[in-house]
Amino acid sequence: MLPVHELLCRTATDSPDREAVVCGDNRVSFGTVDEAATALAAFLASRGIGQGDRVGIFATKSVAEVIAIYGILRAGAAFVHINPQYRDVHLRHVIADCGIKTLFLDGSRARIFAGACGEAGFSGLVVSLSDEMALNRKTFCDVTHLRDIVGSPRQQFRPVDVGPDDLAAIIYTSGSTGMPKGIMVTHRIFHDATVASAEVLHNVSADRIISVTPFSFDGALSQLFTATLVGATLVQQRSSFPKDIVDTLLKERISGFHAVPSLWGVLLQERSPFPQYRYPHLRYVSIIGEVLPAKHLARLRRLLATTQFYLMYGTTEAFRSTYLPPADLDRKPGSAGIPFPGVNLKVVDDAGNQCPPGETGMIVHSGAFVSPGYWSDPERTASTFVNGWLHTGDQGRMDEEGYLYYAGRRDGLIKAQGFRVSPEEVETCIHQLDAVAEAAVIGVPAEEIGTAVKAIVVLQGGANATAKDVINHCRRELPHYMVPSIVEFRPALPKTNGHKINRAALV
Amino acid sequence: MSVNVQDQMQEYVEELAKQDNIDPSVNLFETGLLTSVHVLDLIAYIEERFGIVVSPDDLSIENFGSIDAMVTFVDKAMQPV
Repeated sequence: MLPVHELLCRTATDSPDREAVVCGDNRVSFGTVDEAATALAAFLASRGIGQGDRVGIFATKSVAEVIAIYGILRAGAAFVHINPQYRDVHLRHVIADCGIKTLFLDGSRARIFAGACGEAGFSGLVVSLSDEMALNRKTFCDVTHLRDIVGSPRQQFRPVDVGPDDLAAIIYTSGSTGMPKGIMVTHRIFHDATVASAEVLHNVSADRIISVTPFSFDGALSQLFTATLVGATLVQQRSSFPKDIVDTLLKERISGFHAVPSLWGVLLQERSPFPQYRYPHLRYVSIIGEVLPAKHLARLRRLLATTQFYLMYGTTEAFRSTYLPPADLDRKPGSAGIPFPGVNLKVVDDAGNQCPPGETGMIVHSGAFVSPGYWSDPERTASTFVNGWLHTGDQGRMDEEGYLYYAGRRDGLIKAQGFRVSPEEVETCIHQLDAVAEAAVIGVPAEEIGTAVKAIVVLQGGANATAKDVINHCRRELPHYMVPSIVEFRPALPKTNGHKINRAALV
Repeated sequence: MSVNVQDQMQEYVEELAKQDNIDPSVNLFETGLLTSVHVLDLIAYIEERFGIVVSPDDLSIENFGSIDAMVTFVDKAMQPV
């Protein structure tokens, strides 16, 4: 098994001049990325950073963040790509939770990060990914520029021997309760998922893959590593405006496009130029994250008549679970497909027994891609990963032929715009308003975006607050996808016997 | 450049982003001040306030990336053809 940073080395040796990463006008070859990653690894090693360390990346789409990911891995450390939408509370949580002492920071995120650090500042090492970034010395005391590291004379670097089960990354995602939790990913998982994805999607070196989603999501990492494995080009898309995405699809002759259903919703909405053009180079589209409304899929298939569609299901805890082969789209409408090679998948009832075909239960996953658990949370790990089986918390059923049908969450976790939203986190935020007595948050079906976040609020006696007050408060505190778009005021909330809010009765 | 358009756009964007004194030249999306979900709000506001029609091909970061960009776009669209 070659770790992904060794796959980079192999591709760079075989085809050094092939285009590896594109971002706007910036185009770099595999040879360049490989050399820069080694220079960066040497620098990190010279600063004593290596195996056992977690290194943060807080950035927007760029060539530099790709170099950072490979450089960190090559140094033997694990990378933590922090969701670029995170603000104060979540940022502080991630930095503290996994003890980030070294951070790769993009200029566009410097102010948000400085704000989260507050008076105390950030005492660790900061590597600036942007040439022009001016950082406040009161907040950041130890700053180096990636440009200088990569541009300086080559340092001696002894390759680090990483084991397949060593930590390669931590991916933070929201759960049904509390703050985001860190899911540990090993070198073996990255390698196996990369090889399996390339096999399923038939990726080849001629592919040109657009990357819209941040690398804080496993789907985006899978594309990056798959492109590296086969020597394909990854095109980093900074703007998610429909016109800009359309321009990139056409200009860069994109052949592979992976996106969450809500992005397709944006591309198909009335204001988007997407339907006006033809995309003869677009070989495949893969869709994961939540269920794409059937009418959107039907419309996309009409617009992209020669494109293959891959519908997938997976959780970050096990990277990828199933895919629906394009040939089965009409035979198995609404299905998330069959397990990836090496994956065992079952649907079980509350007692843990396998459900007969057609019966809904919890989806459990074993075999390939299963995470060793949550970072520094053995209790949650023990209850979620049982005897090698990941208990996804997702509901589903299987038909006689073993095709999976996803049937939503069981624990109130909302999937909105492709992000996992914990109702409890949004409720906690709404409760900060003095006027609020009680709050409950649920997901409701929405036309364009699939699922909308809805808040049901009970006000304190005599208090006044409008829907706009609630939404504005949440906008200040939370990432945009957590902000409720609908607020309903009620005199009381339904409760279960245990006096917990009965979310099921709210839908 | 219309001072009136500049002031109104500045005020509206600051309300959307929940932040005062936004540098009108700064990229609102790359800095995370706004996200793509705000785009429809911006279009609705511009169409209603200035009586212009935003076509799908106008929906780019070049036209909507910063307050200055939006002002330039609105000024251009409001000019008699």
